[in-house]
Amino acid sequence: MPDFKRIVRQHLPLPAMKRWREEKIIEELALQLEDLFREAVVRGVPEEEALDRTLAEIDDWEAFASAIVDAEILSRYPRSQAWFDGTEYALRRRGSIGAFCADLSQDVRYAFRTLRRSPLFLGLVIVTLALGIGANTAIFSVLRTVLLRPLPYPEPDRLVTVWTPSGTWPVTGGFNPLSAPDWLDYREQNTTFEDWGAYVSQTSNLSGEGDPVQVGSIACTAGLLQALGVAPALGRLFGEKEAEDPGSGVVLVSHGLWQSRFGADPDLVGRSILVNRQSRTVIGVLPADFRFPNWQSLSEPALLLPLPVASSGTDRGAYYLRVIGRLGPGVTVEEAEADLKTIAARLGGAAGLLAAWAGLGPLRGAIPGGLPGLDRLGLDAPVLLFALGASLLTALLFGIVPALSTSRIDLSRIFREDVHGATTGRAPSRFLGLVVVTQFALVFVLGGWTAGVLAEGETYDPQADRGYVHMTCATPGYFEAMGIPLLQGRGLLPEDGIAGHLGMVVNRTFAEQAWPGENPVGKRIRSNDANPWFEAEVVGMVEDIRQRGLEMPPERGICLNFFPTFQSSRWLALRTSGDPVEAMRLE
Amino acid sequence: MFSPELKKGSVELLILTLLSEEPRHGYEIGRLIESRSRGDLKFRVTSFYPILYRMENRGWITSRWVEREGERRRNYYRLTPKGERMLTEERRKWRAFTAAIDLVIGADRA
Repeated sequence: MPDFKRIVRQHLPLPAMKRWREEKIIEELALQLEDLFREAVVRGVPEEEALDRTLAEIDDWEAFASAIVDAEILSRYPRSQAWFDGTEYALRRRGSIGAFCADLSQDVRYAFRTLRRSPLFLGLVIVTLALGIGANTAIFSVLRTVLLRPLPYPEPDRLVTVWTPSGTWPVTGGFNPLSAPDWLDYREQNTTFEDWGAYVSQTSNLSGEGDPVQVGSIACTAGLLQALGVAPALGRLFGEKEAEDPGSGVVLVSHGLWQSRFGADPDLVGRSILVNRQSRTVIGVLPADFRFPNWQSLSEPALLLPLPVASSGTDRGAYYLRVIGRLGPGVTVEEAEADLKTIAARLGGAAGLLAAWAGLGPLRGAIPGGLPGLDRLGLDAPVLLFALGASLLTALLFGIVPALSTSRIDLSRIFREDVHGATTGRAPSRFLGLVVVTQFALVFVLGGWTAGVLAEGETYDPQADRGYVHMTCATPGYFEAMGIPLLQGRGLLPEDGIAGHLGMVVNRTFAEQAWPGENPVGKRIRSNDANPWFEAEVVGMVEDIRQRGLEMPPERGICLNFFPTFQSSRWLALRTSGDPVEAMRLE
Repeated sequence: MFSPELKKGSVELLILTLLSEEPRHGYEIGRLIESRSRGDLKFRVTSFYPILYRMENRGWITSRWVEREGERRRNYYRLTPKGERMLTEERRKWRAFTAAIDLVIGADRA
């Protein structure tokens, strides 16, 4: 018996047809030919002749196929669909490119039809895509704005930040600001900076016209504005003398504040506004693209106030001034640092200083959560293009892998009755594993901001990954105010903050992981460095709190006494006996 | 014997009639038309199947594979409710048509 199915399949071109339909037609026609053949053989016709006669039934395969396709597509669908299918059939007869176009259009229309039939799924797909593209665009907008775009200052590669290197006692992780006396001494003797200046970030209360508001502000020396190369949009900047005079009463207003609070009033310069209940004259408005370096808040500082350093303090141990300098032409960071060292040797009592690229500032600031320049964040074309490209690439990647693995399925095995189901091998599940791992990694990078510590019983090993703990600095009374129950030992006392005799409170998770089943009180903890910058003794254990939100499990946490010198921002926790809002009104 | 045009006009009615009796497969339909017409009506594969498919696509008939003990599986066609209505309609039309032709050519005088 000749293989009629193969003969029909070979001769009958049925391109624009659903696969199952095509198979059905081929099998049916093959059966028909088989019957004709069998009939002839039964009547005594020699096989060869019987085959010829049978095949003679179909004199023109092309025309036959055409008639079948017409019967299929012209009778079943609405006119538009018939037109599509007709076009498709015509395309397919024009070679492989035509066939590709036809495939594509068929797939697209099939996708739309399928989606239309399941609106819930369609909704899910749209929401998923929107969230995915949106989140990606947002994250990369942030990264681009914060990290990739050059700092918005002239010749940014000449800007450096200046730090007091840590001794044994810093809490800000190795880099400390300067004290006022140090700054004044260095400023006098420096030879490598073209301009440099100091600043502190603070919050100011703005009252007078309109509702009183609290805004972020910067108090800085005149040299800082020169180092950054700021040119005012309106009015002028303050000069050295004005900045040093505590009674000068001048203020610079950010472009954002100028627009939001003062309605972009062109006559604002020269007018007085109330800052911290003190009248100050607006002498200038900052340009719209001005961005304060290392600013760790969601919006730019709204006010720039003069910082009279000379009259601000004489405590050499009070490190609170942040310093930014512009290197002189041709001066390297190393030369600037050498100069600072020379000055330190000459001065004797002053702390040695370190210079570092200013670019590091925003980068360091970006990780803990404050994102400098975020208010300037917008959707820019490159980022959107990136997101779209990423979407397409993802679609391709996630489409190709399942497609490849599906193509490895032997369909005939599925249809054979003795095999239940088909397997696609291990590769796809490994691929999925990789995807999941990558996503988790992203979460950890974005979420990790804490300190590395070594609990008693562990030995320092630079290779070992000890993980991180959440670290809080608080004054005595913090746990009581926050209502965090003390489980063992005692809370923090003022004497726990004495260098060399540090006392520390750990949370339950920390104690249970570090010393399971043991009393944590009296155990020692140190920073996980070759030269630990702190070492402390556990004086108490408190209940876990969910520092990062209710949905996150409690982290290992430690709490040290509060070191006012090193903390640039502080939060006050109050427990009131009555209405807390009323308590705030009492002032 | 008959011209293709003449046969084409009637084949749908023939198929509908045969399927109104019981479900049948394509080869069987073709054979029955041939035998009941005593060999006067015979359809080529190339004209018969496109008509069958068009009727199926219009929803007059429907088909499914049926396997019977000791036989190869066959694609059996049967009438749909729509096909039954079409059969009544086509029969009426055919009778009216042949009656009209008969009146003109005087069949009873032959």
